[in-house]
Amino acid sequence: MRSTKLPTLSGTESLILDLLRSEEMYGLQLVTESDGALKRGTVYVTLGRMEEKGYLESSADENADHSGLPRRKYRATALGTRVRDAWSLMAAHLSSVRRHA
Amino acid sequence: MRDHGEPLVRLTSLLGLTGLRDSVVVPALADLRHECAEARPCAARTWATLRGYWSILSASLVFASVQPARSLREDWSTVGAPGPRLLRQALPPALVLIALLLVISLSNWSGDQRLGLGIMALLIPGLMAAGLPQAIAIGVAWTLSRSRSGGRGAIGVGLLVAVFSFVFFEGVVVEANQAYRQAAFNAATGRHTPLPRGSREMAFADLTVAANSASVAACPIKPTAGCSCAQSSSAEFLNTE
Repeated sequence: MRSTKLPTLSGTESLILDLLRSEEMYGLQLVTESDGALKRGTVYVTLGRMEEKGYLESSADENADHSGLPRRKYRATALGTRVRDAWSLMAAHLSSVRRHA
Repeated sequence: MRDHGEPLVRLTSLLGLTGLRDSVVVPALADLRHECAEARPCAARTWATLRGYWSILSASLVFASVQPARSLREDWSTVGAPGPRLLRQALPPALVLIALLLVISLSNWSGDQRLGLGIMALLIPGLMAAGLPQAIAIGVAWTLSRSRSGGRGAIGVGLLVAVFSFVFFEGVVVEANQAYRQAAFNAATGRHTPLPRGSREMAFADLTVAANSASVAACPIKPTAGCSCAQSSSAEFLNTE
């Protein structure tokens, strides 16, 4: 059964989608690029949840190094990008409503 | 360095925590190994290892605390969640089974005129304690076996649970109770006198036989005025408890 729930986006998820807008990144790279906004202890849980929601997809980067475990590289899906855009639009509208109230 | 966290991956696989392994442990370990490989001085490598493991620990704690609540919400409170749907479908067969179980259990007593409906009703909570889980298990298994292809095994599991539960309550619990009473008596008194079985230490069938025997033994040849057969035998039977 197809879910009728509206897509939601938390602040952290929005930030991750922003960071992944232009390029694919590793989990640790996202932490570094966010200048401390993302924490190492929670970023993997958030990335996993976003994958479940369909906002992100990941692939094993076999050629990155030779440490035994392939690093996981994340990228935004079309759904993730659209939700991010819609969310920004809604946030902008709500701010203008508040300004004019 | 190559084997950093390998036991951790094996442990999560062994415990069946595939969600935690795939979404947290493996990506975090891969990043940790990469960071360690990049760190040149020994101290930096140690620091990277410590930070990496700390992040895996905290991520696992976050995952463990958030995941059950999320699963519960998705399975029970979202639109079209499978939990309530399964329960709704399982309820009719479960109710039929409970009714059947009550009728079978109470029919042992129906021939005994001394016991009115009020006394028989007191048996219902005990029967429900054993019967309700069985009925729900069979109801769920029945629903699953009808709704999924190849789910015939589910009904088998349900029946197995029911049989196990019935045997357990009718045999094992009865014997364990009696053994406990005997052991407690021996320990408290220092004597080893075999204790008679009380009504709580008998299965339903034995209880019926005991009640009938007590009735025959206590009943005078002709019931005397003011003392019915039922009253005298019931009193004697209840005193054995």
